[in-house]
Amino acid sequence: MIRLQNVSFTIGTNSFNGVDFHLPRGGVAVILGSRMAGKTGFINVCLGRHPIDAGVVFLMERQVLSGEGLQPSEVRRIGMVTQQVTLLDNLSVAGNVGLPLAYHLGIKERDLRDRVRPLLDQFGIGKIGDRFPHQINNNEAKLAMMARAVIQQPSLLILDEPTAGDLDPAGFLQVMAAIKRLHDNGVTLLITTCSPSMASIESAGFYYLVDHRLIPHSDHLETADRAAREFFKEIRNYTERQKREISGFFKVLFKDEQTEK
Amino acid sequence: MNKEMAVPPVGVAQAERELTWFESYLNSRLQQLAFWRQLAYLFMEFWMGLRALRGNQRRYVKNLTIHQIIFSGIDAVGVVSTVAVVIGGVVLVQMMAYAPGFQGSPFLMDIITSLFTNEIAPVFTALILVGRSGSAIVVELGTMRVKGHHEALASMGIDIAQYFYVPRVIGLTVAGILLNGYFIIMTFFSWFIISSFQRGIDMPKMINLFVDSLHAGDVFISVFKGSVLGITVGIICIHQGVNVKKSVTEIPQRTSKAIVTAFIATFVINIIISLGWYITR
Repeated sequence: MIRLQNVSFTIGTNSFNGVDFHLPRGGVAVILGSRMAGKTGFINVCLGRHPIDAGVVFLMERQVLSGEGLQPSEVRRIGMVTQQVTLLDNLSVAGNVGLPLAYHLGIKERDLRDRVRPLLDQFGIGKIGDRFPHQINNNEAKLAMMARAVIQQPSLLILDEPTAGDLDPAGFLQVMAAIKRLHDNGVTLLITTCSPSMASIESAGFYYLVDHRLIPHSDHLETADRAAREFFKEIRNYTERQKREISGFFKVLFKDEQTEK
Repeated sequence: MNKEMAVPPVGVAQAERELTWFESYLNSRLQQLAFWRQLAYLFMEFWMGLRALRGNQRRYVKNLTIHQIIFSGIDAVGVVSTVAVVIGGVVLVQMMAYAPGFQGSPFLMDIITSLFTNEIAPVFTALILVGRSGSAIVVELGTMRVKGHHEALASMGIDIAQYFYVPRVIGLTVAGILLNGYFIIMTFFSWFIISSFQRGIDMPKMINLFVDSLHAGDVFISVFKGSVLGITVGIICIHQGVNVKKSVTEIPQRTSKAIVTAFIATFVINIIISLGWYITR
C-alpha cells in the first residue's frame, strides 16, 4: 500500500536520510516517536504532500512525485484522522461524520442522519449524533473523527496520534477497540504515536522515528543501534513507572474491598 | 578564539546591518507587490473553484452561500438601516439649512442622487461589510487554520477554495449589492420621517425629482461598485484568515490588518471606479 525506498527529506531543520518503509495491503504500521520527532511530516511524505530530496515513494501502486499530493480519485480511498479535533463547529456530530457524503454525493441532511447512524452506533457514539462539537467530550470527538474518516470506506486509514489529547482511560480503550475493529475489517492502518501502549495492537509492524531515522523494530535492535537503544530505554522506564503508579493507585483504590475479603 | 571565526558570514552581516532608507523603501514596496500578487492568486483560486463546481458539490456550496448571504446581508439590515437613516437625515437637514429650495431644483437633486447612489451607499455598505462579515471571516478562517481544519477537509477530498472561498466571496458580493439598494431605500425612508415632522418639504415632488434624476448609469455604477467592493472585501479578509499559521495570537493581528487594508481598498477602489465612470461618461 505504501512503500518508501531510500527516501531523503527535510522537516524544519531535521534531515532524514535513507528512509525505507513498507506497509502491505491490510497491514498495520505503527510509527513510534517522541514529540516533534517528525511523525506528521513522515505522513505527509507518504502522501506526497511534503517534497522529498531523493528516493522513491509508492502509494497504492503509484509512484508519487515529490510534493505533488494525491490525485482526486485517491483522496477518497484514504481516510485520515488528524492529531487535533477538527470537527466543524457549525455542524452536528452526524453532519460532521456525513460531511464527505453530503459534499461528494449531495445527500440531504435528513437522509444523512439515517446513513451515518449505523456507523455512529458502531463507534459507540450513536446517542450524540444531534449534538454539536462543543457539547461533546474529547473521547467522543476523537471517535467521531474516526467515523468521519471511514465513512467513504477507505482502503487506507492514517491515524496521526489517535490517543493524544485529553482522552480519559475509557476513551483510550474505545479508540483502541475501534482501531482493532478496523484492522479486523481489512483496512490498512498507518498509525503515528508517542504512546508505547500502541504495542498492544497485534500483528502491527513497529518503526521507531528516532535521531532523524526510521528504524524498523527487530529483536536485535537493542544491541544494533545506539539511538534506538536509548529510545527503548526511555520507553521502558516510562512503561515501568506507569505500571508502578497504576499498581499503587489500584492498591489504594481497592483497599476497602481487600480488607472486607 | 580564532579571529577569522569571529567574523560572521556575509549573509548574516547583511541581514543584521541596518538598511538604508532606500533599501527599506524598496523592501516595503516589494512586500506590497507580493501582497497584491497573493490577492490576485487567491482570486484566481476562487474563480477556478467556482468554475470547477459540479452537480452535488454545487448544491452543497449553494447552501453554504445562502447561509453567508443571510449572515452578511439579511442580518446586517439593522446596522445598515441605522447608518442610512442617520446619514440621509443629516444630509437632508444640512440641505434644508444651506439650500432651502433644493427640493425644487433638478440640479441639486441630481447631485444628491449621484452622491447617494454612486458614492455614499456603496462605500458605507462596504465598510459595514468589512466590520461585520470581514472581521468574522478572518477570525473563523484563522481559527480553523490553527486547529488544522484545512488539512482535515483536504484529506476528505473537499476543495478548500470551493468550501471556504466561493461561498464567502459570492455571499459578500450579493450582500454588497442588496445592502447597497437597501441603503438608498432607507435614506428615502429617513427623508419621509423628517418631512413628516418638518414643514416646507414637498416629499412627493422630491421623489419625482429623484426618480427623474436617477439614470440607468447611476444604477449600474451603484450595482457595479457594490459587487466589486464585495469581492474585494471578501478576498482581502479570506487572504488574511488563511494566512494565519500556527499561533492563535496571529488571529487578532490578522483581523486588524484585514480591516485596515479593506478600508483603504474600499476608498481607493471607489475613487478609481468613480474616476473611470466620470471620465468615460
